[in-house]
Amino acid sequence: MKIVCGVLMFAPLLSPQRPQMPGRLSVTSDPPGAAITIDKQRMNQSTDYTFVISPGRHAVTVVAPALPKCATPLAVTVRSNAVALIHCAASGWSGPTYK
Amino acid sequence: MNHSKRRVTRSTVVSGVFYAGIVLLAAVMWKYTGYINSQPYIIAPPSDPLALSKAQDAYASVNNLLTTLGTGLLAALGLFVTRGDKRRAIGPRIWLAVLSAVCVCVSLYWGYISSQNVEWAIETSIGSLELDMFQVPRQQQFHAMLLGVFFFADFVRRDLVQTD
Repeated sequence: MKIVCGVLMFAPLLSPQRPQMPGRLSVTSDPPGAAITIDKQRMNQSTDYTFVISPGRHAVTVVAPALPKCATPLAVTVRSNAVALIHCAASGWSGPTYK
Repeated sequence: MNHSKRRVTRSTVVSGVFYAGIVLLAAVMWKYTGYINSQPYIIAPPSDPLALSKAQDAYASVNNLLTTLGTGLLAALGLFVTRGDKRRAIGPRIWLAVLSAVCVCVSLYWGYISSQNVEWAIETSIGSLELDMFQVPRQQQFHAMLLGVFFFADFVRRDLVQTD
């Protein structure tokens, strides 16, 4: 009984139960309209597009005949409440930059 | 003297095991909540914000309904356990009432997590309720409630059979 009361009294000190605030990932390309894959998951959207995404590390690829170098995954760390911008061109990936 | 002492010892052990079980259950649910709330997700912004808003309203309504049913069930349990002739021993049937109360408390906990996560979704403009962090607590809330109702019904049935 004492343990239960103790746990309840100090519950706010335990790890927070709310999910972390999401981040945003903006994927652009030149030319636009390329297929996007995030964490090996093919997205229904094509570039340019901004996703709401969980904070952490994600692997992004962009597939289009004009963009062969972006088929290699780019590791992007997304932060809470921040927008990570990545851009794909014929020369390859640029970014991420954060806003 | 020895008999009474043995009964006290047994009662202490049963209480200890019960509270240890409750603490273990709480710890497991706490860790499980942390696990489902930390699952990765990728969401496209909602194409129809009105549809999402209606889905959130429906989600909240079911949550409220289950919470109301849960608190009602706890009240009914209290009534059944304390009513009638005090000399009439409840005996082993009390465990059905206890199991029912625990299940309803688990259901109320998941209801709290559900409402907290939907509040978070509204606040952060998450465009979907199809994530584990919304669906798992909702299912847990419903299934724990269903189990609580089952134990309650069995408790009441046995109570009525004994009364007759």
